Amino acid sequence: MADETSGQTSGQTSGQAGAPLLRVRDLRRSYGGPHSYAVLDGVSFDVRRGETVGVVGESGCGKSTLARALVRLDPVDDGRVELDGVDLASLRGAALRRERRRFQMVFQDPFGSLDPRMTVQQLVEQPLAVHGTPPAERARLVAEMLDDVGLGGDFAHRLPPALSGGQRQRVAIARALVLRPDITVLDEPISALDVSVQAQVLTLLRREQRHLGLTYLFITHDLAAAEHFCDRVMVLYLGRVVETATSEELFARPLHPYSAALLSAAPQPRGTRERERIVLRGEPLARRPETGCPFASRCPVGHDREVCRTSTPVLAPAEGALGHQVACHFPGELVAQPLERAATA
Amino acid sequence: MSTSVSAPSDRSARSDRSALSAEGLRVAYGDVEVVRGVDLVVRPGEKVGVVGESGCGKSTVALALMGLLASGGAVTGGVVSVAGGRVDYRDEKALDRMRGSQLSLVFQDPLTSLDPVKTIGSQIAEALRRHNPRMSRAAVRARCAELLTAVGVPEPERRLRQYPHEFSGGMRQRALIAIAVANDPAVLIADEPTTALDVTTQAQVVELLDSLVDRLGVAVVLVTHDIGLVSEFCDRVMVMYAGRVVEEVPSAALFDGAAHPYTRALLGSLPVPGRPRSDDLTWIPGAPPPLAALPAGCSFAPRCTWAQPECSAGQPPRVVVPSPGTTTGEVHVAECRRALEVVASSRSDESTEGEPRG
Repeated sequence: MADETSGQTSGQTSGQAGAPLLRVRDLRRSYGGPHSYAVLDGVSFDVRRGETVGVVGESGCGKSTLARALVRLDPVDDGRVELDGVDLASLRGAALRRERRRFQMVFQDPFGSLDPRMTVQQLVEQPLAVHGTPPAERARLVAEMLDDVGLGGDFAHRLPPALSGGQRQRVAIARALVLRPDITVLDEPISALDVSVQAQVLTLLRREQRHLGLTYLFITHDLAAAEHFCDRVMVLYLGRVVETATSEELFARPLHPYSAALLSAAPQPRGTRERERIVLRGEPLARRPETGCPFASRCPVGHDREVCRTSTPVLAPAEGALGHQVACHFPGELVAQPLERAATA
Repeated sequence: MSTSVSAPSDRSARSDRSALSAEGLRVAYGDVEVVRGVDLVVRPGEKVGVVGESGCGKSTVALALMGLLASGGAVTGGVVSVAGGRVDYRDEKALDRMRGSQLSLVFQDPLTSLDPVKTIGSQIAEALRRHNPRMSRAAVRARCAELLTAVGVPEPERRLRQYPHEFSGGMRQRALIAIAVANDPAVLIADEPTTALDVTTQAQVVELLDSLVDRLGVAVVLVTHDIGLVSEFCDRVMVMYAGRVVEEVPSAALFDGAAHPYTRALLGSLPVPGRPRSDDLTWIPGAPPPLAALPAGCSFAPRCTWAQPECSAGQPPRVVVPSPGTTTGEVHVAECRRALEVVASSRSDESTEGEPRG
């Protein structure tokens, strides 16, 4: 825990040695013509090499838009996405294609993202062929990769329809990792899988990370998985980062009322819950209000406070732990109350 | 087959205390049996969870109880009683009367279960009129508004005139629940009612279901893959695997006292908040067996770290598990010959998952 916090400081000051691998600055992405709405409204963050950063939030918060913008499946309207100093947002054509092997993505749905007529072997070889790896080397890399994800031998010649959901997702992971990308964006990689298989896929991802020195951006709505899997977590709400901290720090001491409510709302096996559930009033908004904090209308702390309705809080360092940032006028005011462990109704 | 025999009145003494009871329920699609003898008793006002992974038969149980199996599927055995009366699944008229008024179902996806071209109001009204054809227009209207209020939809008068697409996911699920409870059913079966919803919205819907149990006395059967959700919401949990209930356990005893290796393995694969990150998750090797070709003996044996040769020899016994901390009368049964050893190992060794795996 101690070394994690100190690693954070060197990254934040971004000196020459500790320069982040990925630097995202004021990223904007809008949809919808004349009345367009910015689904991402000025998102900034750093990811250091070898780190796993989680992006958590609910539907409509912009997390998948962020994933697609980062790997340039969608264009970026404004802002910078720098990978080792190269601005991906401005790349076009051949230059973009060359850089593409450095950032890969794993999608949520292992049923929709694999060509059903290609064998596992062909599926994993395809990205290498696209990026011009010589055939002899391809065969070796594919065999290695398939062994790593536990799909060696007989599996190599199967077609996706003959695979389970977990096996398909392992093929999708192999396809991404076989290129040894600098950064891998994992967009809800386990949400379509059964619980017992989710654990296997997470463990595989973590092992490959240690083995190959990979860097992950892990996009999820599953807070327990984020806590377990990520070094650092960002909470996204209606297109803005409302809080970011190390996993340990965020889950132990959420400062934004939305983070506190979100963490407390996740279902937990009876007897393991330590804090009371905070149930939010009202409906999630589809769009940010014109003025004020985007969470104000549902916020137990700020719904009746003038400043929350009129002035937009900015992401700023919180007191206490280094690297903990929060965008709230009253950080830390909403705390889920500890539960008495013994009593069960 | 045994279902069609119409004799048993000696059961009524027992069933009038339960809102819903199924004994030895069997369901088959063609030659393949997908539900293989499930017992389920739900008392009035009780919350019972049915949990399991995809393909374990949990949704089939829900559909079978409602008499809504897809074509090709049929109840092939067992006795089902609702509010004391035996259900005859060949009598469509009787089923029509039962659905909605005694037994209601809420599906996972609120968008596809609502009719997109009818207003929310007319869909609730339809449910009311179905069982109360002579209800006056004004009374229907008033009751619709009352129902929407009861499920926490603000401005009910305006909302009744809106269409499903004008409702958010959480509000649609509330509207569906309003339809389901419109005729005061004894039991509400909710099949993955919150799976399509966000966490904070899910918390709201769960709180709503809880309050309906308190206010209306309706019993809830919650069918879900989310073991955390069932154990928190329900009084009792039934864990299904390959078409059978392999463990029935009071929620309070689930986390520390689960006695079936499958239940323990499910819990071990769950990233529980606060669990140390260094603590690697475990998973279940292999995949569930195809229902058309089940292994002999215990269906979980081929994937089970506790399995012994005799597990594959015959059907595992139903072992009653004594659970400290649960009140008398609560059933804890596991279908495993080593159930007591499994419990003992998890209790003696709190820090590890009680899984003899490296």
